[in-house]
Amino acid sequence: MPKQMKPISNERARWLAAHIVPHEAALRAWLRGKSSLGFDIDDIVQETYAILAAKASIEAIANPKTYAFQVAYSVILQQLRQSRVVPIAAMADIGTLEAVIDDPSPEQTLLARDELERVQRAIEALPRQTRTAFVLRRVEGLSQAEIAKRMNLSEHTVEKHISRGIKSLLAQFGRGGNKAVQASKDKTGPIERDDDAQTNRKIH
Amino acid sequence: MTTTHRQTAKSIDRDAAEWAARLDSGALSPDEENTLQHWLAGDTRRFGALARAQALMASPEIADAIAPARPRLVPPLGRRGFLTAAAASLAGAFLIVSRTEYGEVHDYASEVGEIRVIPLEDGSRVTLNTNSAVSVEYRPHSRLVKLTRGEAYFEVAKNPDRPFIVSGPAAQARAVGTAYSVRLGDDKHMQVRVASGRVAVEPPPSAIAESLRLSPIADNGAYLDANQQADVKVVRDGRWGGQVQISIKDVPPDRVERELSWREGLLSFEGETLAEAIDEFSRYSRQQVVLQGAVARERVSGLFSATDPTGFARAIAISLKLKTRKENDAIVIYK
Repeated sequence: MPKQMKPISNERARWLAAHIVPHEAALRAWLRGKSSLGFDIDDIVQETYAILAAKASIEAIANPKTYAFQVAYSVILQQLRQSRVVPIAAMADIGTLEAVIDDPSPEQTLLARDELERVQRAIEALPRQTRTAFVLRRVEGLSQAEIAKRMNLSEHTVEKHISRGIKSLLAQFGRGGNKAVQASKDKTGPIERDDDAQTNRKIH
Repeated sequence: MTTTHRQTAKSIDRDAAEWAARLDSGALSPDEENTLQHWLAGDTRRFGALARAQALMASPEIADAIAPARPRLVPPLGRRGFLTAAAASLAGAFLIVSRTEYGEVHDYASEVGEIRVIPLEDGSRVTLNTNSAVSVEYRPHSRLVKLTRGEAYFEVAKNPDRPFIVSGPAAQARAVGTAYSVRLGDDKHMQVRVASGRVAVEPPPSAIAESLRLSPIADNGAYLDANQQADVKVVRDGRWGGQVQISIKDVPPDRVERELSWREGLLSFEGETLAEAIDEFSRYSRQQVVLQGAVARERVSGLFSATDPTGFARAIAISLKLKTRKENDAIVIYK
């Protein structure tokens, strides 16, 4: 690990947002399929972002999706090497890792709809003031100082609201998986389809 | 990396969110700079979590998702002051409000590849399929929806005093409380499919009737029940009211359900030809797919993401033992 770690530049944040974030849900789904290897998915995702963020140059990365999967794969391998006991199932699963990585799927740069809906629901579930501050920051592009003035709050309080919004994003984003496919299989009638947020349905 | 007191990823995320918010608020003091350095040096995952937080904060698509997705016609009190500007600039992109003598008309539209759910004031819900547009007008004795482009699915809140009428150029579909979809073909063609309840398919009121503000109920049409489909064709146009041909057929319930899978962003095929499937995909994406030779008549089945024709091409190439190649911007499927 480099001695001096600086937070990433805006440019790198935008690159990650455009090229890695759209594939995060797919990456997590793929990792879920390998759960017999005994790793924590969030650990691998964080390590993967760390490597992509610390990379000196990203120009040579032709296919960011494939690259992100490869990085995640190397992180898993490294963890397996470090752990003393490699479960037997792990040996079989490792072989199948590469098959997916070779998948030459062209880059998909749009976020899946159900991911965006998850984000939307997460933000809608925030307390009113937090949501207002977060929307002003992310959607309207006001600075935290401007938001403080607009909402008549201290800058410190606005920062707390923003951090709460980010927490919710970090906790929700990318974890939707294949729900859309499942939902359509499970559904019983045309009006019955619904958000997983509403599990209590009224029974007449 | 320590193994004795390994911090959980979730706890790292919480710290990372606080740092991302702090960095977002402005420059750090030398003290804070030090604390951050120290925090980052403790575990590589922290740097990753912070980078992820900053990336999510930089994503324009996430900003769009956060934007009040539904037009809030009356913002809750208290938020009004803050959000009026936001709501106006954002909602303006897809919601246009104009006035008629009856009240407000709201226009909603979706882009290619986009599916949009619009809750209406009366509790009904409209799901717009790709590249579609409707305008909604509440009149004292009716709820009028004009489908001006594409296809939409309607879940209608019951209100016998105010029938819910979806009109297209060829016909209108009137319901009291039910769920049905309406799809426009070309100018002269319209398809109505009923998932539940009962829908009357009838010619639209003539321009004259409209100008005299006669009741919008025509009552010279045909009734459709659940799991039925009507294809409506304009046979003769006329200023005094044209003539339309309505043909009704039964559709197996599972097929109605299957063909409505677009509401989840999915396309479902069961034995359609590849040519038909590709035609369907072309509604959702600008990606061109070209079929070469006899492959057009191959049959396909399965559930696919509507906006991913490339993934579809790849999947069916494997299952039907076909080949694909890129040619300019198009995907060519061949044998």
